[in-house]
Amino acid sequence: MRKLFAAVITAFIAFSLFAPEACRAEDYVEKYREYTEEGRNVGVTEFLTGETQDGEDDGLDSFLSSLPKNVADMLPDVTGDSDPAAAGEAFGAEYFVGLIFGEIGRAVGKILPEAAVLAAMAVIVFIMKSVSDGGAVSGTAGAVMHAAFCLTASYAGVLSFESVASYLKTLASVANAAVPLVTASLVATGNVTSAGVGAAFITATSDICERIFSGAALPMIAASTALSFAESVFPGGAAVSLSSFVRKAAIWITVAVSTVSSFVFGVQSLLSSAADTAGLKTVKFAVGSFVPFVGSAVGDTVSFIAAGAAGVKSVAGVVLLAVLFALTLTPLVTLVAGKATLFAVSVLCGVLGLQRSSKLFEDLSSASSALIALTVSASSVFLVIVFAFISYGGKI
Amino acid sequence: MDVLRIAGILFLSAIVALILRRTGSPLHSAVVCAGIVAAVGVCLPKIADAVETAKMIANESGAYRFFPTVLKVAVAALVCDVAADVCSGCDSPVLSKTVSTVGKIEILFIALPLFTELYRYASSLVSQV
Repeated sequence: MRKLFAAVITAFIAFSLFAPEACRAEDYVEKYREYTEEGRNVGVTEFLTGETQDGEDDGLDSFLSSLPKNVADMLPDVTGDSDPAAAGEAFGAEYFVGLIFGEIGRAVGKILPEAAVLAAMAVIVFIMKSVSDGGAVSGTAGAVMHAAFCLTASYAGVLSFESVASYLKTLASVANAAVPLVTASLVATGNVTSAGVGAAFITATSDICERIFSGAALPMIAASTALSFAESVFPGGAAVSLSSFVRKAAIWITVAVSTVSSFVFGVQSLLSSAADTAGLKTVKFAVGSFVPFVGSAVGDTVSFIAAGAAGVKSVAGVVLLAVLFALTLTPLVTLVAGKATLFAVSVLCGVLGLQRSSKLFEDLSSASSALIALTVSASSVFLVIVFAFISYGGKI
Repeated sequence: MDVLRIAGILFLSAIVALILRRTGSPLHSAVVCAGIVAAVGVCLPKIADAVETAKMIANESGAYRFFPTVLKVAVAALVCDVAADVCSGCDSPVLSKTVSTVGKIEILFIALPLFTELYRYASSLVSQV
C-alpha cells in the first residue's frame, strides 16, 4: 500500500514537473512537420534552434568540442568520421582499466598526505590530553584540542563540496550538449516524434536535476556538515541530531529526484514502440526505490543501465558513455578515497579513546556517503536519459 | 622507576602532613605543597619527552598548523591543575577554584582564534555551494 502511494506521488510530481516540457515537445514536432512540408532538409541545429547552419553536422564533433578540457583530455582521439570498430577498440577494456587505475592512483596520492595529517593530529591530541588530563581545567582543554582537530579536518579537504558542485554543473552542460547528438541519431532514423519529445525532456530533466541537486541537496549536505562541526564542538546533549536529519533529508531528495526522472523516462519508453525490459526496470526502480535508501536505488539503476547498454550501437553512443564515465570517475574516486580516510580516522580516534572526535569523523564519513549518493544519482539520471533514448528507437 | 619515586614522594608527604596535622603544626600544608611540586618536578622530563614526540610527529606529518595552540592549551591546563591542587593542599578551596576559573579563561583566550576560524569555515561551507 505504501509503495503504491509512493508510486502515485512520484507520478504526480513527475508529470507536474514535465508537463510543460511535453508541450514544448509538441512544438518541436509541429516545427519539423512544417519544415518537411516545405521540402527543406533539416539539420540538428536547425531542428532544435530554428537557426540555419552551413555544412553537415552529425552532432558528435560539436558535442566533443563542447566538452570541458579535463574531460576531453581523458578521451581517446575519436571524431564523427571514426570507424565504429576502431572507436570500439579505442574505448576497449584497456582504456577503461587504465582510466580507473590512473584516477585511483591520483586520488590515493592526493589523499594519503591528508590522511597522515589527520592520523598525526589524532595522536598529538591523544598525547596532549594524556599530559593535561585529570584536573578541573582538563575538560576545557580537551574541548579546545577537539576544536583544533576539527579545523585540521576542515583544512584536509577530504570533503570536496566544490568538486561535486562543479561536477553537477559540468554534467548539466554535457547533457545539454548531448541533445543535438541524440536528436541527430533519432532524426536520421526517422524517429521524429521521439526526437522532439526526447530533446525537450533531456533539456528539462538536466535543468531540473541540476537545480535540485546543486540548489537543494548539495547545500543541505554542506549545512549538515557545518551542523556536525557545531554539534561536535558545542555538544548540547540533544537526543536527535539535527545534522543527521538534514543529511537524511538531502539523500531523500536526491533519490526522489532520480526516481522521478527515471519514472518519466520509463513511462516514455513504455509508451514508445520500442518499449523493452529497460522501461520495466525503470518502473520497478520508481516503485521500489522511493524509500531513501541509496544502496537499493543504485542497484536498480545499475540493472537499468545494464538493460540499456546492450542497445549502444554506434561511435556516438560509446563516446557518450565514455564521457559520462570520465566525467564521473574523478569526483567519485576522490569521494570514495575521502570516505575511506574519514572512516579510518574515526576508527583510530575510537581506539585512542577520543570519542568525540570519533563521532565527528563518523558524521563526516556519512556526509561523504551522501555526496557519493548525489554524484551517483546525478550520473544515473544522465544514463537513464541516454538509455531511454535507445529504447525510443534511436541508434546512438 | 620514576613512577615509584613519585609514589614514594607523595606517600611520604601524605604521612608527614598527617603527623604534622595531628600535632597541630601549621607546616602540614607546606609539606603537601612540597610533595606535589616534587612529584611534578620528577614528571617534567617525561612530559618534555612526550611533547618532543608530539612535536616530531607534527613536523614529520605536516600537522604543525595547530600544534602550538594545542601545546599551549595542554601546558596551561597542566599548570592550572597543579596550581589548583597546591591551593587545595593549602586548605584554600576558594583559591583553588579561582585558579581553575582563571585557567579556563586563559585557555579560552588562547582558543579564540581557533573558534573564529571554525565559525568562518562553517559559514563558508554553508555559503559556498
